[in-house]
This record gives sequence, C-alpha cells and structure tokens, in this order.
Amino acid sequence: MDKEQYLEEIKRNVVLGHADKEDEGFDGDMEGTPGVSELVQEALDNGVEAKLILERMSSGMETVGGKFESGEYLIPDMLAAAECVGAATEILEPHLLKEGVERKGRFVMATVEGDLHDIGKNIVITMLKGDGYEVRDLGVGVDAADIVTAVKESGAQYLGLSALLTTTMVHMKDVLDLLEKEGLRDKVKVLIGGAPTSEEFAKKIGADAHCRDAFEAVHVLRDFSAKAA
Amino acid sequence: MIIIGERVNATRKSIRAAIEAHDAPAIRNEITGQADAGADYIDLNAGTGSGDVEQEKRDLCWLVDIALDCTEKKLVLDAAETEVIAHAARHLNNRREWMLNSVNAESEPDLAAGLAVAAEFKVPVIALAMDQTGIPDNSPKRIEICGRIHAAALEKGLAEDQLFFDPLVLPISADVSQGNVTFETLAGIMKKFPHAHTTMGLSNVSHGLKKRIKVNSAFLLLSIANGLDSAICDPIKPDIMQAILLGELLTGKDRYCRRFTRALRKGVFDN
Repeated sequence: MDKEQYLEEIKRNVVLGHADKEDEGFDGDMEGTPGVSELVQEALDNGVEAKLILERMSSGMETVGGKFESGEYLIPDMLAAAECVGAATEILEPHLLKEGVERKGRFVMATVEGDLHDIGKNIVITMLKGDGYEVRDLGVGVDAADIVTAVKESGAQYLGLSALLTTTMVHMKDVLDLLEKEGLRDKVKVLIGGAPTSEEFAKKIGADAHCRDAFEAVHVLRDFSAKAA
Repeated sequence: MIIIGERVNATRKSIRAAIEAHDAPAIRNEITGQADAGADYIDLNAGTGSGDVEQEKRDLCWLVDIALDCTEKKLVLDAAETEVIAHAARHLNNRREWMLNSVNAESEPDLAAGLAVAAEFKVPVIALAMDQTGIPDNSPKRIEICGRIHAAALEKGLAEDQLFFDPLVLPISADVSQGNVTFETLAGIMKKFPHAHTTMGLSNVSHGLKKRIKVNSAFLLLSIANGLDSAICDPIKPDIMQAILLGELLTGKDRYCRRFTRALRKGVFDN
C-alpha cells in the first residue's frame, strides 16, 4: 500500500470501529483482517508520518459523528470508533513527539460535587482522547476546590464539567466563581454538559460553551482553537 | 451462543412424513431456513418411532447426505440409540464437523459406548443430567450426574470443552419450582466445569401452558443469565432469536452491542 492507501484504510477501519484483527467490526465480517492498531503500526513502519495518521483518524471520527447524528450509529458504535483512535494514539505518541507534533491541548474533566454519574463524562473523555487531547479525569463528585486546583496544577486550557441532576448542576457555578476568585477564569475555557444543562444555563453561570453530546464537545473545541489561531 | 437448529426432528409430523416419503426438498428447506436464520449446528433426528432401528439408520444417513449437500453448517447426529449414531457417524466419516446427541447416565455400558463414539471421531457430545433413577427433581443430584459423566468422558480422552451438559427441564405447569432447578443446575455446572458448555431444549418448560413461545423465550433469556451458552431451539422463530440477542446483550457477551444493533438493522426486532 502507498501512503494514501494506508491513510484511507486506517480511516475506513476507524469508521467501522475495527480496533484490531481480533475484532469483528461494525458489519461483523472483519475478524482476522488487520484493524486500526495493526494498520497504524504498519503505516509507521512504511514511513507514513504520525501527524497525517492522526489527522485522517480525526476525519474518520467526523464521519462517525455524521452517522451518529443521522441515527445510523448508536452510542456503542461511536465508542468503538473512538476507542480505536484512542489505542492508535498511544502507538503514535512517541512518533508524534519525534515529529515535534504537540497534543491539541490539555483538558481537565470532572463530574461536579454531589453527582456520581460518569457514563456521559467517560464517553466525552474517550472522544476527546481520540481527537488528540490530553485528558485528566478527576472522576465523580469532585468539589470546586479540587477542580480548580487541578486546573491550576495542570495548566489545562480546557475544563469540562458534567452534571446529570438539577440539584447538582448548580455546583458548576461554584467552580466558575472559584476560578474567577483564583484569577484563572481567563486562562481556561469551561465547557459544560449533562442532561439537565442547556445553552441558557451555560450563559447564566458564565461558562464558555454548552455541549449536547461528545461530538459537539469536539466541534466546540475546534471552534475555540480556530479562533485562537 | 451456539445455536443448534432443532427443526429436522422426526418427532415432528411434517418431518416424519418427509422422511417416510423421501421428500428431500422438504428437508432441504428446513435445513437452509435454519442455516439462514443463524443456526451454528443443524440437528438431524430420524427417529420416527417405528422401533425399526435399521430403518432409522438408513433414514439418518439420508438426512446427513441432504445436509452435506445443502449447507456448510455443522451437524448434530441425534438418536436415542447409540448404534444409530455410530452408524451415521461412520457414514459421515468426519466430512463435516458434528456433535453427538446424546448420552446420559442411565446405563453405564450405554454411556461408555456413546462416549467411545465421540472419542473415536473427536467430536463434542451432549450429555443429559439423568441416570437410572430418571431426571432428579433437584439440582444437586443433576449436577452430581454431570460429574459422573464428566469423569467417564475424560477417561475416554474427551476434553472438558467437548462436553455440552443438558441440565434438562421439566414442565413448569406441573411443578413451579422446576424453572429454578434448571437455572441452579446450569449455574452449578458452569461453576464446577468452567470449560464445559451447557445446552438444552426449551419447549418442555411450557408443556401444558398457552403462549408457549413466549414462555420458552423468556425461559431461554433467564437461562442465558444463568450461564447457558448453547440452545437446541428453532432459530426461525423471532422470539427465540430475540431472546438470545437480548440475553447476550444484557450479560456482557455482545461487544459494543454489535450483534444486537446488527439485528436491529436487519429488522429482527420489528415484530
């Protein structure tokens, strides 16, 4: 295969969620054929740049996003694709360093105080890692002080807050207030999400964006970096 | 889930008639229909109940020939008499992977003979949890019988993963505790013999009731939750395939829910 063929084959396998040769893929007929992990290794061995592979996988995730929006893909299909990219990113990591390619940014993620839901948060994390961000997961039920400390320590450019309850989403405001107080508010973009949250709520508490789902988070981040550039 | 398609069984009137009339197209339809519906194995049973063992041998070989011709699926040679299975096995001569259905612990010589055939052809064998006292009404005794068959099978050179234990099920209409006896037996077998398989027919559970397919498929779902990893069933019935898909989905055996979502796309859940 030439460079372009490798890249297209990697993208196709990402879209079909075909992680490795043990996996059956979206249509169930791919067991035994090389998946994303094998293809990425092979492409690197044949001199394909890690940066190009990462970009093409992102483009694959775009396709996945479209299929999710249209209802063709369900959450597990999206996760399968994102986990392919996540695993491939680990293979690419040392090569990206060598090529001098930096991660897209550092992200801190938490479910806020009093709230123990983590499924949505974890899906977003998988997607963000798949899109090339470095993500620090603080877990669930994290109070404002711990979140702000983590942002300060890691120098993260982005903070994601999740809440699934109307009674806990109010703690998102505590985090924003504390960021303000610590003089960090202009250093970090705050994205919020979770079933009861909304665009209006994000505005009301002064967050930078509300994300309906994991794909919207990825798009919002792209808009941020486009504006920053 | 290893699906054994049960439809080609001479205890069914239409199959008996097809065997007696040597109506090969009718048998072929039954086989290919099950293969298309997702069966892994096609069970072949030629026991018309005439009591003529020589006739049954000829009939089972006739079924084998049709199956070899019309499907790539694995086969199950199913007969009450070991000599019928042995005869068909020699005729088949491992031209296709197959499984022996069945042995039990009713008589030691019969058990030994059945296991010897399985060992000779190196094929898996279905083992029923019953002995000379019949089908025990409790799970400890059924598990104990499975243990005896297990020991005898390993002695003959079979591996644990070649054993498909059938915990057996008695009608719930006569004794409502029997569903649980089967579930406990399943769980006990899987715990004691982790490499072994379990399989069973479903329809006995609903004997004497109505809406039997609903009862059978719910029973299948609960059995999967208790470790059942194979079933002798009718894959053409949507309720059955739905129960299998849902059972595997809910017990974490369907990575990324793919078999379930593929079935959704194929319309398996549309009725």
